[in-house]
Amino acid sequence: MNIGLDLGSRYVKALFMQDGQVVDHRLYDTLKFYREYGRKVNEELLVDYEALNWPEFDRLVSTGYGRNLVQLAGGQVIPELRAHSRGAVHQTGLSDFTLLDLGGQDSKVIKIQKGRMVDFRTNDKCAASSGRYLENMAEVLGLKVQDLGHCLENPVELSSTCAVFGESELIGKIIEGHPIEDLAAGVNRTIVKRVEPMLRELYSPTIVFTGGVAQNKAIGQMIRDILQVEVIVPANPQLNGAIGCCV
Amino acid sequence: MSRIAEERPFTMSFFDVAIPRAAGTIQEAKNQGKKVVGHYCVFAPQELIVAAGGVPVALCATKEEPIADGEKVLPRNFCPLIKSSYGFAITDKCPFFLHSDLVLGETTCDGKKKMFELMGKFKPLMVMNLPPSNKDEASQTYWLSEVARLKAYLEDYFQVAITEEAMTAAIEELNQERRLMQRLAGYLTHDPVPFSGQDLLKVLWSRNFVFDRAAFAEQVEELMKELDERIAEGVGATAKGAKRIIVTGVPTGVGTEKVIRILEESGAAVVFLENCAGMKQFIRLVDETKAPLEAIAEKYLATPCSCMSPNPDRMELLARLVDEYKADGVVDITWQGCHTYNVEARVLRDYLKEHRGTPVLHIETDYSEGDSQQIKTRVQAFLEMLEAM
Repeated sequence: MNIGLDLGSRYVKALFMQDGQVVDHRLYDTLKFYREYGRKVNEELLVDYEALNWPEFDRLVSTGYGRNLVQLAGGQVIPELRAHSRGAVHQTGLSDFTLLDLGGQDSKVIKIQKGRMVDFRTNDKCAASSGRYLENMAEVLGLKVQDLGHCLENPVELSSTCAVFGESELIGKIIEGHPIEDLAAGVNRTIVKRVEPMLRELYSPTIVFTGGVAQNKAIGQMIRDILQVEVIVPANPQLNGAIGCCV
Repeated sequence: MSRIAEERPFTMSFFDVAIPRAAGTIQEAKNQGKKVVGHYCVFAPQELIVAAGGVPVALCATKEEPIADGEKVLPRNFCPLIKSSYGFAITDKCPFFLHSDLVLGETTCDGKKKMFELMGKFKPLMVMNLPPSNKDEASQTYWLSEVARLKAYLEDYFQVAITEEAMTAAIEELNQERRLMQRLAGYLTHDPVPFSGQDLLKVLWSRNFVFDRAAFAEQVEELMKELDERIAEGVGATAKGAKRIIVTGVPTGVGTEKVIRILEESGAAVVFLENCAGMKQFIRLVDETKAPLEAIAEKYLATPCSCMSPNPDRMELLARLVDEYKADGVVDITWQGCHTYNVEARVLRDYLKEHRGTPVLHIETDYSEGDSQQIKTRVQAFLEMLEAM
């Protein structure tokens, strides 16, 4: 049994793999995970495996972005872009594509050729065009973040993808009387506008779309329409990094 | 067989304490009646300060601590180097600024230009105006007049005559130092590198703070002897075959070596520092066959800084360095708010891709440690990408 652990900014993803097959996975709210199951001792994270009630494992590999990357006692850490590249290759069986991963607070675009990373772009400190932006905007619209994914048509033009300042612009548009669905489509559209230059720069005719944001179907469709590319969302977009830790 | 050294070169202990020690020696120099001239940039013609009998000292600030004070006057979304420099100046927390009899500035960017306006209200300041280009004759003639203006200013301010002989002697002295630094940097052409990029930075940065130039040169010679031994024994600061990286972009002095540190912690060998905290000022010599003032003006204006438009020399230099130092990749650092280096990042990436097939990682950051984990993620991915090439 191998465990892959992706320590994200919003969720911790644990994936259990036996003989190359995914047998189970768990999702934990990141704050809750650290509060209830982990504590840091000498730069290492000690995890209360008993309380987590995970199966016995042979190997545990973790990855994570930025501050969330911590050395797990008894585990191995791999660089995050490696985990995501491997996960996408494993999940799709493809070897030439551009990976777009939009997570809780960060965005990555990785160009894969012959199964290997050949170039990449990531955001810096800014959480624009991330899941956090979608969450904040959904709240302003009074929607669940999952509902945004149904809104594709008639996007209202929004200029800010900032997870904080996007809010005031959106409120202004609500006051103008636009339908909620059109505003939600506008929110989706701003994400696409933000990643579009990176996708053009590291162009492939096939885009593999992962991360929590890939669950938003409207965003995938907009990328398809605007870039005229094939967009593949693997079965477990949010678990892609954790899968990459296991393979 | 090669192996990784367990310790840094012994001689580095001299350079480790150079800056704190300088805070004391500058006081001594002042007590001996020496005139201290603070400067910010590699465009400052140090020969003229030396020829005037003065002590040049670098003021370009590399600490995060004074930024909060800088931000009381300057905009927050501004270059950290300028905010830090101004913060140090306004609070008198930097002994080198405090002890400077005169501060020399150059208009290398809009931010500094406006900062000097503010600084001139509380400190004797001489600002040299740079032309926007170094390629055309009008710009070259203009810069020569600025260098002549500095000479006259120093003569008047310190009531000394700067003679041809004094300038010639200063040129020879500083050229010798440039050759010395080139020899030292040349050690990093070896694989494994016998010392780290962080240590090269420390030596180069210390140069600004050791006022006894002969004593400094002696220590560099001592260090090179140690490095000769390391090479003979196959001892390196990083593993043989480590990915070889040239660092370029904005100045990253001691205190702001974050990216260089992350590169080396991630297993890369930093083989050259092209920026002006590194080798930029030491690469070109002053022509000793020409009239001294003209030769000085020519050397400084030829500095391949992004403030020059166009700036093809930086691209060509980096391509040459990639060959000489057998670099696998280039890391280009931009301070937040530095428009010229930020724009050139893309130009450089395309240039090196076309001419050498060398990948460039561009990192935009500031003096804080807040993004160091994010930078680490990108550096690791970059090294992994180079590994796969």
